[in-house]
Amino acid sequence: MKDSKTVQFDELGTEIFLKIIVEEDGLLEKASYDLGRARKIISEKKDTFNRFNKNSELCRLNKSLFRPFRASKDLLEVIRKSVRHNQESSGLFDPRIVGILEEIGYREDFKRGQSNQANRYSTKPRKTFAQKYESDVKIENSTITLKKRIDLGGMVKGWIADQIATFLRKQGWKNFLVDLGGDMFAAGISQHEQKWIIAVEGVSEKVMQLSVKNKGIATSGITRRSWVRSGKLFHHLVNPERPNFFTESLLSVTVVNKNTESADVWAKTLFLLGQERGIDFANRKNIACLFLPKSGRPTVSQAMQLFIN
Amino acid sequence: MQKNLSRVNKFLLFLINVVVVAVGALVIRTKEGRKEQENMVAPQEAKTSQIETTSITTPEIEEQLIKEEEQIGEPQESTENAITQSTNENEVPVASKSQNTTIETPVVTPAENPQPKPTPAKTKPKKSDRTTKTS
Repeated sequence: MKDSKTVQFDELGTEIFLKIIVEEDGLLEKASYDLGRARKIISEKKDTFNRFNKNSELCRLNKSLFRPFRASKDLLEVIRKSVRHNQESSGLFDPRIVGILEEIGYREDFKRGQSNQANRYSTKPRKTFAQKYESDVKIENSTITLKKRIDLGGMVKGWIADQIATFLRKQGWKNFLVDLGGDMFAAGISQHEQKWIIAVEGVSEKVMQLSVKNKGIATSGITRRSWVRSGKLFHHLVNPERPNFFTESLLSVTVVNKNTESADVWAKTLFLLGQERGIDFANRKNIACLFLPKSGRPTVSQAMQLFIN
Repeated sequence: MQKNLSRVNKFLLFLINVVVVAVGALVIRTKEGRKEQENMVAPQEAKTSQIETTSITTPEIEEQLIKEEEQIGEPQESTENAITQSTNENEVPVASKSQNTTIETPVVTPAENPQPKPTPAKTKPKKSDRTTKTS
């Protein structure tokens, strides 16, 4: 078994776990140093995209509606990608749902304000968006002009995981694991000299584990960010086409993809599609996914068979 | 003589009337007595007969009652159990391909001397490195 260096801390509102597999003893110190730098990168990226921090770049952008906003390279990149994801998901992935999230009570960082915020929610029926997302986001050179407020939380964790993976690769590491609260990138092989073995929450390891190498994995679901008011279930996975409907039959969707950002976006999109339509879509698009329903057995797409241990 | 005959006739008529009335009364009493006997049944039998007469169900209601009985028998899983417990079955169903799929099934070249597939031994799952989950 090979040596490894690990760092674990809380950031982005979740638990972060970084692990580097060290081939030679002389590189253990370098591994520690690079893990420290990776931790700093995560902290810096968080400040850009946190919608609960009034001083974050995203919050400042949201306050500058209809005015050109000179954005950082990171914000420009993520917003450009968000437009592409919105198009590829036929509008299901839509960062403009932040307004709806606030209406249904998700106004604070969930860990802090879970019980209080859910009391303040609007019972007015919510409307779908009149225009496409790309019509409300204009990018020119390094400026962004928004017509509606946005939240990029649906893809930022995955994007940051990929940024860390890219950074570690540039430092010469081939075998490592970047885990941001369950959204992760598994590079190379583990210290046991085999593909990374990843369990799926809610699925017994005796039934199924994932075996992955150089892949991103993400899980989207309602097991943690949901609340009930007046007998009605609310959660953070809002369908922009049906903003008054909150599914209760599905717990989570897990996706394995080329990178964590794509896995993150597809996991949300497939969740919103529901199991039947989602599996059909995944099979047509060759997306590896697992649907975990509230009751019954999990179901996987055909592409997921390649990753089942 | 004729007077005596008319008196006798009247008396006979009177007697006949009395007999008729008496017989009629006797018949009526007998019928009433039988009815009373019939009505004097055990309390349980009375309830049963009442239930039977009042428990007539329509076909729709019977169908609903059957469905309710079937649902009570099915095990119910709470959301919490669905998260913390895992499925006890050893197979994960794979969704069949959509009819509209554009994915081409890879062609598998059969081996010249195909070996029979070994029966997979039951082994313990490997220790997982991490768990993917919602956050």
